[in-house]
Amino acid sequence: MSESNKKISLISSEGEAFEVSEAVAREFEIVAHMLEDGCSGSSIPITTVDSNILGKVIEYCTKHVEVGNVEGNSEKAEKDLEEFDKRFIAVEMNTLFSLILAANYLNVKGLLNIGCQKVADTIKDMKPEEVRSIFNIENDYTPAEEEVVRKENEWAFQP
Amino acid sequence: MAMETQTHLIEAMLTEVLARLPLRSIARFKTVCKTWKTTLESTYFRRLFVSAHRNSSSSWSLVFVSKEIIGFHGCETWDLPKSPASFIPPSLKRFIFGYLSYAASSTTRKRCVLRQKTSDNMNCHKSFDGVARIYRERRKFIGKSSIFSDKPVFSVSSRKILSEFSQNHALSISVFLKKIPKDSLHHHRLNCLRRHHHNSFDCCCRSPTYAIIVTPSTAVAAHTPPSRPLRALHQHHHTPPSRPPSTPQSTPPPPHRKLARLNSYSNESYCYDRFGPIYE
Repeated sequence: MSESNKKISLISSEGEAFEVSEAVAREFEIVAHMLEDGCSGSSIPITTVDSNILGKVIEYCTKHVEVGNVEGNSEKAEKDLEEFDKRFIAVEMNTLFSLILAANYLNVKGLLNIGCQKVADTIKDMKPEEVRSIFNIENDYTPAEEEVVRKENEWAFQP
Repeated sequence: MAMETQTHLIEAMLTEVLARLPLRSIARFKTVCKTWKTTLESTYFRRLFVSAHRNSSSSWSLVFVSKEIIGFHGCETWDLPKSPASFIPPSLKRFIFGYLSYAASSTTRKRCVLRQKTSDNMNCHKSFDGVARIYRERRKFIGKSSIFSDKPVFSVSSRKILSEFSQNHALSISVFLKKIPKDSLHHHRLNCLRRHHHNSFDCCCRSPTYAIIVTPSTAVAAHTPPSRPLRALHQHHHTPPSRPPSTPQSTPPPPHRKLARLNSYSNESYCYDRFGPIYE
């Protein structure tokens, strides 16, 4: 198991290096592919992700690798992991968006999933106006057009 | 620059987020802007929605002669105010459940296989084994193995069922024939039910591993021409009941093709608002 001790440096957009074990780095599917193709050294630049977010994604992956390595009492471990995910994802919207974008770029499926779900849970009870302001969307309906669409979907507006 | 990427989730990510919303929120968010409406009504989105909710239980009702025997809301995903079967307009209910019988014999199973193939190709919900097709019962065949005509009166899929419903609610309902895993809770419940409703249940659903599932879906669109499927429907509807069951072989190819198109998942986005004649 010498491979799991191998260290890999991930370089953020600011040039900061994060040293992680290969197992953790492999959680980033994009990195895993690079390693498999043998087209990378021990340091990999992640130019589109800043230090703050990269640090967080690494934290997420480290936790998941740790838990994945422990055998037995899986039920408890799973619960813990769920708790961890919940706490991990409880951040403000902008950070959450950055995490989702990073997870998408780095191809960390689990994180992408909980991130998207979190956003969905946050907005699901919102009014369309609130959603517009969160996503910076301009309303391009005329009042009459909007009324028509609203009428069509009236059931969804009732409490 | 960084701020901008933070506030603008790129479109693909946004779609991923939206697909995880309950149906009610999706319907409401069509008023956010035109782009969202287009996205939310696209076939791509529909598939994404189905795959995102693959692990959540669907909402279903087991219906027999216009009566809902078991209803399972699964409201978390669908966020429906009432059970799916209760959305079926009475006129249609009578048509579907009163005058006709379900096919649950080998004919259906054969068709299920066909359907399954389609679903796999389209990468749809795994457990949707087939669309329930409703067959006109033919009295003279009762007692024989095949009591159903080979030609469906119509096949129910979300697109054309329940025009009233979809107009009022802008979401539609599909009736699926769902295979129930042997060890599942639903299977257990079905078996209990079977003991209770001995005869009636047997004739509605011969194989206890299948149930008629009414499940809501997000397909809503008016961009595709309704003429074709409607014509196909009319053909079935006006098929003289006296025609022998072997007629499908002699049917000319075009209607066949239409039938095939009718069953394909992507076509669920066909317009349903000119459904008219089926109520006759």
